[in-house]
Amino acid sequence: MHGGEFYMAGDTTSNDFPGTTGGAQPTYDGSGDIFIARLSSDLTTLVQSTYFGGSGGEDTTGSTITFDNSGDIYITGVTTSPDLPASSGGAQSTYSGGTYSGDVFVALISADLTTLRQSTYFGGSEDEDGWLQTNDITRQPLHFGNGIFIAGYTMSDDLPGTAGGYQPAFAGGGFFEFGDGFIARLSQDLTSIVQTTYLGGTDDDALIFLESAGASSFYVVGYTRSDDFPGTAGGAQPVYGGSAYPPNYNNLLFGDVYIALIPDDLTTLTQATYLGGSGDEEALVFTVAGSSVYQSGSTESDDFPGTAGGAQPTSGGGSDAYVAKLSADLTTLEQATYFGGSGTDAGTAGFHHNGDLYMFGITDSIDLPGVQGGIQQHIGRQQYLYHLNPATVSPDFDTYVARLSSDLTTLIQSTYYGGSGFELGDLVGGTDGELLEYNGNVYLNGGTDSDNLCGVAGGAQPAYGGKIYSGDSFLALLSSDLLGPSCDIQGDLDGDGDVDLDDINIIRGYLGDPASGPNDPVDIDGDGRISVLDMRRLVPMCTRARCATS
Amino acid sequence: MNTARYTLTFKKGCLALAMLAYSTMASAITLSISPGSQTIGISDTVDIAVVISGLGDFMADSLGTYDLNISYDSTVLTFQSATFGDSILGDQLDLFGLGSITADIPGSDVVEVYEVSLDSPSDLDSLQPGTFELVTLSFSANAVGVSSIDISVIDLGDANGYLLSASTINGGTITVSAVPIPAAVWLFYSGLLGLIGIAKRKKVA
Repeated sequence: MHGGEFYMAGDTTSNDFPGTTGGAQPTYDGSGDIFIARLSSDLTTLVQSTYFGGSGGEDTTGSTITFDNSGDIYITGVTTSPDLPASSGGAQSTYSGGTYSGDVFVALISADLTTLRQSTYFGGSEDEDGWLQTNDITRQPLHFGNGIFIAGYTMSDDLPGTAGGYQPAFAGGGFFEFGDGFIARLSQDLTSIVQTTYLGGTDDDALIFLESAGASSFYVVGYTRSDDFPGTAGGAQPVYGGSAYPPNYNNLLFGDVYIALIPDDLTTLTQATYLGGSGDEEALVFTVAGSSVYQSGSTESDDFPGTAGGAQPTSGGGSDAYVAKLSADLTTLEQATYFGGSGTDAGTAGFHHNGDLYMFGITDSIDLPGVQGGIQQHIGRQQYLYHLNPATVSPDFDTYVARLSSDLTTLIQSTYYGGSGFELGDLVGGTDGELLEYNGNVYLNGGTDSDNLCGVAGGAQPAYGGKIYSGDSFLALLSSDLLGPSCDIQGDLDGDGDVDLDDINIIRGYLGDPASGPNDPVDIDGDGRISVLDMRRLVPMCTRARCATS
Repeated sequence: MNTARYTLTFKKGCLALAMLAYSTMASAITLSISPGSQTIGISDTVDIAVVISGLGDFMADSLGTYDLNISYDSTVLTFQSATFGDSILGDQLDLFGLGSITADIPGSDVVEVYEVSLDSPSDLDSLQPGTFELVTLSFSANAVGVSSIDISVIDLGDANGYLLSASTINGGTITVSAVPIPAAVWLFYSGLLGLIGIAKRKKVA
């Protein structure tokens, strides 16, 4: 959102993308281009759009847009085009090579999308077979002071501008051929490289995002499999925690997260630290809050550091989400906590203005902690799953939201949000943990192939528009306390929004079973066993006469 | 007049009546095998009905569901089929003939039968009689012997799915004789006995 208008960017192979007439690059240049679109705030008008790309391929994500003080747009991505428009006069005007993703690009475009002011390549010469066919990948350009900072990872040992940098030499890569992380500072007009530095050890390292740490330094966060990552001595966790797996493409996991605090001249490193246990971690969000920083993601470690005394001190099993609170100087791990059940959980975290930390993420755990009394207490709204042995249940992923105290010692409330299909979700904001609120309520967005999401009645689009596996997007506004009224209808065992013969037949399928516990939703009368009495109890609860299914 | 004492006495009386009514209702439900005793020949088939009585009789408590085990001696009898509902009144857990949930599940020396009504509680309470047949079971005789037919209650539930209890359960007996005896032969013998009786009366006279 900028200037009252929505901006979105992505990749396209369409040669008839709408609204490009009059744009900075009105025509498609083949093999995949970037698009940027500018829409009215009510999303009813496409004001302007433009392509950006050369004869090769380009790739980016919507999160790679940022605005400078005058409103111009920076966008980054990767390119294999040797003829990127407006690269002449750029900091690196020629393509440096690479078989797959090639080089990073940065482009500067006027806010009205009608003028391409400058673009530049950034990359080395190596022709690597990197993960996702990349060798130089960048995320999120950071407009910072008088420069533009980009970060990523590379297998090139000849990145431009590294002389004089904190780590001028490539330290090597490992099995995944991510190589080293890099940070580059470009002039704001993209015409010069001010400084570049590698950042990594002898195994694979990848920089994922940057976050401002004040006037003259910033944090950089990423993954590493290197046990010799630079600058960790004196850090909150100076020693690499390890990885549970030998590297292979079926387990594309990195050992630890790392966080580094770096002055913006890129010539020194103030402090770095590992963060992780003996399993694998994935970093998702980094948030600066006062004298502390919060880093969240997912972990497969059952010995994640600093969780003692946390809201959830032990792993729920599988992979869990985690949040870690560190001192701003990265020398102390103040507190950490797991969040998750017995399945797979991953999460991001952001602060609400009420001072509490909200975690958002995805889960297939049927036993997520803290959901009692929440907006949605059962994964997928499928209550019958709670009759089954959790070890035998593999529900589709839902999103979740959890509210924790800022000291990470208390789980205040959590809730699932999702239907019987598959959901992916995130907090509305970015990797810096920005939380989007409306009158104190919190937004949750994501994708779904469920046709029974809770709370859509009365919404802008109340009915599912997609097909199985093609899916829709969703946007949900949740009360900040995450408390019900519940989405869960008693007796709606299949979670389709009504109580009918289908639900009675679910009970019928479990006749004679003992209840799974005191909260078994299939044990309607709560007598500890599944019987015809439960079936009959449901009849007066049915949505329609005689429990008709429609 | 001591109003307080009167009120207390009245309340005690009401309580006693309520308890009497409750105990009457609670103890009134009977499950029976009908007919209680039958004799059949080898290879014959026989039907027995499970009858419930003592329900509210067009008022609560009506029956909303049941789940019973009917046990028998499988060396003597073989379970063939179950027909739900009363042979004359129709299925009293499916008052309008629109369907209910039924199952008969044969096991070793036992058949489980259950039915769940989909009718509304108010319809069951107002339209269901106090006595009716729940289900009729058909058996074939496969060996000479005597098989008791016993009812074991897994669940009885009222119109809202709350537990009911049967205070009395009457089983039955099926005897399988060695020689199949057609009904007409029994009629013949009984007729002969009648003639003998008449002849004796005539001699006496």
